[in-house]
Amino acid sequence: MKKILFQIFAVVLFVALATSCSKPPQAELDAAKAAVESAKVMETNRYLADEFVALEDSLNAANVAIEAQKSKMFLSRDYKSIKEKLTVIATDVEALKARTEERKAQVRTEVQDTLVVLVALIDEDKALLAKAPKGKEGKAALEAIQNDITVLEASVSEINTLIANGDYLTAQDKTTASKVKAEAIKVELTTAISKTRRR
Amino acid sequence: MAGRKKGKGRVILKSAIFVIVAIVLSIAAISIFSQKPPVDIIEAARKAIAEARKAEADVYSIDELAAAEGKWQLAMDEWKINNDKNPLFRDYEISLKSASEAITMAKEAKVKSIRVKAELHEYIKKSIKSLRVSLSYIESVKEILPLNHPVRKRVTPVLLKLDEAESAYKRDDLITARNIIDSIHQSIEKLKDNTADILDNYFKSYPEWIRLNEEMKQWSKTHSSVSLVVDKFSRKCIVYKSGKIIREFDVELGINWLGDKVQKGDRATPEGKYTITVKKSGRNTIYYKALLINFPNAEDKRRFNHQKSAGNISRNALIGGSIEIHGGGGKGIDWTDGCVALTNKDMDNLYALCSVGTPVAIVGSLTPLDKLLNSPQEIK
Repeated sequence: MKKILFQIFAVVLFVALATSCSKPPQAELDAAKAAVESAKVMETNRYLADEFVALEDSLNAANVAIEAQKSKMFLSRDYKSIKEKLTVIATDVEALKARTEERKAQVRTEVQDTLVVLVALIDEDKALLAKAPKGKEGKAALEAIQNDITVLEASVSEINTLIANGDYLTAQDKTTASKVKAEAIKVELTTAISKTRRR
Repeated sequence: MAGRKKGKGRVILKSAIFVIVAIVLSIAAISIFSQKPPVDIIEAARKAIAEARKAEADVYSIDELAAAEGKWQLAMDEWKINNDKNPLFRDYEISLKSASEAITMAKEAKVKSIRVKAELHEYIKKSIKSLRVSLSYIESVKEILPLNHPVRKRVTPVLLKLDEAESAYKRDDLITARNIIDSIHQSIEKLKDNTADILDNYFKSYPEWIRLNEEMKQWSKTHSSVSLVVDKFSRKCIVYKSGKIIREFDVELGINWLGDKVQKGDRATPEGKYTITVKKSGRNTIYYKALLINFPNAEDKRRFNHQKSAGNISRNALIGGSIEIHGGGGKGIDWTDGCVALTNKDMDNLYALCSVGTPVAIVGSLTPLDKLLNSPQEIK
């Protein structure tokens, strides 16, 4: 009889101990939250918006799942799958951050490459401007073109600031627009010079 | 002794069974009587918020989404607080209410976001199109304005900005595109209005130009002789004889050709009715051959004095003179200090046709403004 009694108490004690060990995965939750925040700092929400929103939602879903478990009787709480989910979120965030970095680097490279072309075009424009006829007949035209080149140089300065601040997308817009104008000036000057030579 | 021990064991066993039964009954009671946790509604709110964010409510319906998220967070916080309480004393009312409100707000945020994005898309698309039309107008007018006209300096910066806006629009960054457009919209429209005003004001003299042209035509008919009309916009020198056009020569003008000559050194070509006073050739001119006209005439002097007395020009300003139709042209650009230049070959022909006393009318344009702007080929 005594033996049976001890066995019953042992089972109750084991169950109590086992369930009391099932605590919410706070460390994993904090890690996932921190990971999502760090992704935001990295502008993942700007470069890979859809994926970022999905991860944030997964984190919210994990939060709901944790509270749902907490609402249950202590005997039936189970955080195992949530813990796994949070670990996956943290891993996914890291992967997303890597992709963001990759995307940013790609845009940065594109901007820097276009910027090199733009600066070269401005230099070409300046060289052509120096070759353009300087008689009184050409002075006003050259002043007008010089004014446009000054605008482009100011644009280059703004682009460099944007790159330094990590705002590559805005820099890309500006670089593309300025390049088109620099090309137009080149064509204008080349045509003007060739006309002068033909005369 | 053994009987007493057996009795004691039975009591303990009964007590244990009682405790277990009590625990089971307690669990059952808690399950039955405690409030059901708000899992479903909070989960539904989360999904609604996720849907709203997927619809970019965080960009196009910021306040509504923030309100929904605030309500959802409140529901979560209340749920957490209650989870720390004894199950029998948990009250999820606030959580349920907040989650329900979060669902409504998130749905509204989604709807608004979709609507705002569509409207913004349309607004930017239309704005870019309309600003391109305005800029195209400015560009076309710019082409007929003097090279050093201030309008030219103002076009490039706004053109670059518009290109930037279009680039942002293409990569679906509508907020950036809208901000750029809003920053240049006024400048472009103002520039367009200014440009239109410049030409509208200038073309107020159009009836007078047409009258002068008619007068030259009639004069040549009446006198069976040659008269000249210089059309600034088309850069043409028309030669009338006996009421008919017998020749047309390409000309180049003063750099500030748009408008009448006001004072010495303004590099503008005067407008009005003149007469050839001297024919120059050889060492008498540095421009191959030249036909000096009687600028300033009486009307020019009257206008100059009026401007001076009105304080529009300096008291020390001079009216200028030595306006000629001369050779040395063919540079493809307006370059003179106010004279009318032809190629030396054309100058030979014109020189032969003209004599001292030949009347010359210099006019802004013989083509109306609307026709000039619609047909750029009319403008040289």
